[in-house]
Amino acid sequence: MTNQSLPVDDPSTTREAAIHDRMQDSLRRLLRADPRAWIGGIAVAGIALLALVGPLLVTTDPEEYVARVYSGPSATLPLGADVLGRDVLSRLLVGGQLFLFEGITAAIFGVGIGVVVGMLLGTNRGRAVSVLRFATDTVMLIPQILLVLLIITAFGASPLTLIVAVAAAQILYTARVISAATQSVTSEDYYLAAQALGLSRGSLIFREVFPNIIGVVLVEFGVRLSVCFVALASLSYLGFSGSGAAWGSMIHENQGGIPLQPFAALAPVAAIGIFLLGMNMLRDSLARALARRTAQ
Amino acid sequence: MRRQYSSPVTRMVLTRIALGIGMLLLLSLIVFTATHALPGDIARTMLGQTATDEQVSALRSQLGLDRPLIVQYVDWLGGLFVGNFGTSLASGTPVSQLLAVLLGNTATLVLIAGAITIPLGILLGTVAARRPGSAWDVAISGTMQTILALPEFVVGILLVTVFAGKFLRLVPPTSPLDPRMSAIEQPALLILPVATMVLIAVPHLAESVKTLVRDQFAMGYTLTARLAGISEPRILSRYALPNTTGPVAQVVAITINYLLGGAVAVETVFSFPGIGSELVAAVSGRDFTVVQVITMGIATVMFVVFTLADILGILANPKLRNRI
Repeated sequence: MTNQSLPVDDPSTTREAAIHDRMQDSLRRLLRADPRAWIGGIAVAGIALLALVGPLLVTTDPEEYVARVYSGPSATLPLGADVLGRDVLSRLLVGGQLFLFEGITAAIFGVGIGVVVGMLLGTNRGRAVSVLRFATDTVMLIPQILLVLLIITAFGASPLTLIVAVAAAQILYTARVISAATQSVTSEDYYLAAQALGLSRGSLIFREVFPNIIGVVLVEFGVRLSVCFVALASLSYLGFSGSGAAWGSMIHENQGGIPLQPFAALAPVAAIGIFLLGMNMLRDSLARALARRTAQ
Repeated sequence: MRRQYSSPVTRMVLTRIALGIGMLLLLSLIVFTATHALPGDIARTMLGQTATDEQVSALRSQLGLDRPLIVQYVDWLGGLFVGNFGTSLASGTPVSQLLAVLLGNTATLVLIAGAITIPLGILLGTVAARRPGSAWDVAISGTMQTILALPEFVVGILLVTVFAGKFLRLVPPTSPLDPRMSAIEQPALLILPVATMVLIAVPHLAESVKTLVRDQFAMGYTLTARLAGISEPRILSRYALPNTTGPVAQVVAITINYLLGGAVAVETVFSFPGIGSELVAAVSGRDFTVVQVITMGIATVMFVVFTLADILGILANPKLRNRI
């Protein structure tokens, strides 16, 4: 990257703001140049839009018997009927909203708590980090899905417990990544200088650490968001969705009908698949742009 | 001299095992608290809301739930050690009896999938690492990233659609094993579940191996070896791969974790009678004893796997050999 659009010492703004603008500008440019960001962004936005406004577009009751079981697509039923003779399109339109909400909420809480825990432990020289390592290694002894299922066994499957279970499963993973990033900040001169000036722990964390690890936090949020969506889709498929028409449970119900009426199972498979692949491309492209910007 | 030579390694290995046992104990506490102490009343859940208080308290004392929690925990943990896993709350049969056949089925599935995944993942990762940016590298990475993004059950459903769907019917779409025969005697029913497991586990392994091997190729000693005229295969087999033994062992351990976790969804997709599908049924039926035993069982397997991987890493690390 040779041609910078803004000089570092722009006289019209403060130096700090200029650097900030330049960083944002180059990030945006890097993303714009990457086709993966485009394709991923369109896929994610398309499915998110379908999930968000879908419930407003439904014309038939998604729980109502409208046609013979596993009827193929027709003019009135563009995606045919499902295992109980219900309209697949209506169910597809109503089944995504809660999924989208649960995934985003779980990721925000899981990553949010994980970032705070990670920064607190990372700035704490001494045993805290090895305690965190021990705790993470312990939890990693079992696959994440088991941890989530354990919480669901205790509290049952409602949208709230699903969000709590999936969010809780992310905290330690995020805390580990963030504490490592925090530790590398705490060995930098500017941090040591701030510390020597006698700044409080809180200002050290929010003025020195956080602004410098924001890229790591963004990438971690992207990773955890995908993990939350994968976990929620799987849980919904396994029968823990907390709502009637959910994409995952639609797939499970209509799986037996794949040879007869594949759309009943494959329409929600496509929705979940396109969404997750798009998110993966978008996240990958963001991670690369951030890495390249840091390298500049 | 000999004693001094081996003692730091022995000490590291013993520390690692002690640490692992500590983790298992901590996990047992988490599992016990999550399934036992928090939800309030297991007896009430089992009997339903219509049960009288007398019925509930009778069941509580029958199950030993009226004792102090610490006594219950020690009793439960002691039972796990001697193979007394309790009885299923849903069916009333001993958990060990319930899980015996299922355990064999899941073990067969995971072992076959692992036996394919581990060599394949290491091979693909090494091939992709040898020429960064080559068509091979791009093709492998692209495919891996695509599969990595999808949940296990989606991969399973897509395989069913292609190979057991409307047009092709090469294999059975579900795998309801005959309980009178072992899983290995019913190979046709194993094809799709094994294929799904391999597809979901290979990407992670191959990607990690690729990064590890590529880092070795970027190091100075590889360049020195190349300049000295040592052949590429020999650099790989003599220098690059041995140096990655420790980290690759870790990655293989994580792959086994992937396979065990994947078994939950994969077994459900194919109605495969195993530990994973049983766990899903136990969670829906809130069958606490079964959930506890399966979770602790998988944790114990992973403890053994992770510990072995760490020991292999310690033994393979030449830097640790000379420490006194």
